[in-house]
Amino acid sequence: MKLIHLALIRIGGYIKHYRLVFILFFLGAVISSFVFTYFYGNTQFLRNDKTENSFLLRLFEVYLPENQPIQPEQLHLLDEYGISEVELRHTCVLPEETLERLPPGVPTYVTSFLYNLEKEGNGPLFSPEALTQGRLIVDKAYGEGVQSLTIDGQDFPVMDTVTHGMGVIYAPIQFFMEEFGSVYYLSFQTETILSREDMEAAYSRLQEAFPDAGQIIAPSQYIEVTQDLQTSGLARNALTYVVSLLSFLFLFKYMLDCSKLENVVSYIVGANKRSVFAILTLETILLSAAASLCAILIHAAFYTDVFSRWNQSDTPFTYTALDYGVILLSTVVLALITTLPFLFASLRNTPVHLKGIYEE
Amino acid sequence: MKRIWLIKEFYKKNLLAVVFLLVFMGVSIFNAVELLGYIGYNTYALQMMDKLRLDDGFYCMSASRQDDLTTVINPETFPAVEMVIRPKTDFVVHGDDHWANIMLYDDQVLERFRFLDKGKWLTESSHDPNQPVEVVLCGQAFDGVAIGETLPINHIGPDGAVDWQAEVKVIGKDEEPTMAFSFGTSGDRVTAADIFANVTNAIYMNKADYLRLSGADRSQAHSHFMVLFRPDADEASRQAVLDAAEAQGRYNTFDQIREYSREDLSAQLKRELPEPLFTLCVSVFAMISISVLLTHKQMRDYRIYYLVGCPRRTCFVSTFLSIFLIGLVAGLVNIGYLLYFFNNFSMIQAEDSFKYGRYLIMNSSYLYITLFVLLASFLSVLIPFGILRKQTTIELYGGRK
Repeated sequence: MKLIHLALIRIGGYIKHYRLVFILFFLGAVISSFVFTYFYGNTQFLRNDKTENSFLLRLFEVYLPENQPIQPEQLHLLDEYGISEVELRHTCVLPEETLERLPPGVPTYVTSFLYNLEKEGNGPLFSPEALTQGRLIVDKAYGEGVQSLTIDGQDFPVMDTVTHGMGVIYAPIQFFMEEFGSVYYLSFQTETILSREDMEAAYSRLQEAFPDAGQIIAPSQYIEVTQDLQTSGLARNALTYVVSLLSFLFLFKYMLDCSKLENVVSYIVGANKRSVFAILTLETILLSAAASLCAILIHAAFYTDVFSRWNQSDTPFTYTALDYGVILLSTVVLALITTLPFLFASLRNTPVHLKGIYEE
Repeated sequence: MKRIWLIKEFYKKNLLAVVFLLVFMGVSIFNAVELLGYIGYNTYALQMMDKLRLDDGFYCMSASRQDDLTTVINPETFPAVEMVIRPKTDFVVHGDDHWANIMLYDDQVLERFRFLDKGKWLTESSHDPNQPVEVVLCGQAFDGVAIGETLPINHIGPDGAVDWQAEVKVIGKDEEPTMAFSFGTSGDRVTAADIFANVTNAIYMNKADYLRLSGADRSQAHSHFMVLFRPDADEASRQAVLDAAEAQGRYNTFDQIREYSREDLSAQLKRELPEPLFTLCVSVFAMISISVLLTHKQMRDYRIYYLVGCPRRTCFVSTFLSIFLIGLVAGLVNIGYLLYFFNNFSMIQAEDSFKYGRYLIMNSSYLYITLFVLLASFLSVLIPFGILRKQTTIELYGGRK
């Protein structure tokens, strides 16, 4: 308590004797904390993805080495987790003259959707009548008004053309299962983002069901990648804060240097170096916490009307009390780390030397 | 000399703060200049659309690479169509193994669009076959070639051997920044930056001249193209053309392209602007703070200068110069970087080596850097000026006690 009191007295001394320098330093610290607060929210990629209910956080993908027979019940493997769509792809062989219409390297496969793209709100792809008919929807690249398409050496009737992607071929699910019946890729899209445990359980179930799969991708893998991205974003944010704060710490060092007499007095009345260091550290903590609090208060007060419009993401997000707590703690810790060299430097001189400086 | 010594002393005593500020400010300006280059590229592509008066028409993307949709959509089949723009290209070698694109346009297109800054534009190929073919050069690769000069070009055949060669006469130049039509992009949202590409080594040549030189058409073209409507075409006939385009591919009207370009630019700015903007603001505030600090630290020296007869004005000018020089050096480093780039590379780039992928060095960048440095320096000396002005020599000296 005594240390806090002493630290506050020193801060009061700065305000009294070096008002302009102190104001500039404090304003600089507030600006730096504000920048940190802004970028902290804008690097929370995972939270934004969750707010958007991003399909990448809901997507399980199975890649098989080649077309493999698939049973209807395998399409319902993850039903208990709430599935909004299942996509199936059958790699196919097209005649040379058909391939010439497509850019080189475009993969050719027949696609089918279990729920006709309706649950995700992008459909329906096929009308209810067309779903029961054995006709395809194909890319316009195969020719406007094309009547049939030869796939794997067999002619299939075409009902419509679209521009959904280069070379796409869509088949109704029932027709797909009857005529092609094998897939090299399938994906399950859940309605909501699953918990970590459910993701792991669903992943294990897919592993058991498709032991020959070349690769099975669960949303947890995407989460890991995004978390890495988020970590690097936060590290960059921390660096920006430190560099920004460093610009103003020269002012702080000046005030520390000018207040060395305080240290001399402390030594004379029996304080050891550790106590003086503790006072200086407390001073830093109090100042950085005050600056951070100011920045947080300004940010919170004007967030809805002003600062939310400056956000880099189009997905709206809000800062929670926990976010602000993390920001406060982070800025104090970072400020302390940044100030340490300045604090050590101010303690380097012996009491006798310091006293000598002031007796000059 | 004395003043230089005073400034040197100023820096010597505050080396760490000065170096830190210099680096911080330099990096902040660099980030801002890079972003400015990105904005420049995208706005320049939009400006090209305005410059070429692309107002009434659309960009048509054929679904198949095999179908030539221009056989379906053209002025003969649709009276609403004024012209179809489908540039063709070929490659030649000039100088010591330098490749260049030959850009071939129909006479009607050449008449309507002029990619020219100096000299004459191409006319119909009606000149003497014994005279060299007239060309317009485009891009940084031809900086050393003057108008009126002749340029030897070689066409390399599929077997790697020269199958024809010619001397072409330079009648005009399209100088940097240089953009030309590029119709390789397909998608639902095409932007201006997608239909124009930076060209650093192109030769505009009349199609008939090219055919006369090469003997056969070896040029290539994308399956996508642009269509311009006749100004007097009614709504129904325009819609018929658009329906025909929709039937065999997709299209974006010029208005849509402009709208998507602005939307993309605004979204990109929203993502990218905060960081350079924040660092610029922090660097200016840091400059103000450090200049105040340095003035405070210099007070002791000023007392001595005053006592030995140095006028206050000299002290103030020394302080101002010392602070201004920090911003000046940071600005000069960035201007130097731009000049180096300008002299050694194309002004306009679309490579992944840049942070934003696309980049255009704008002449206005120099002006912005200079204005920023002047503004930051002005703001930085305001407070020290107030401090020094407020105190008389006696007060300043008395302040020590």
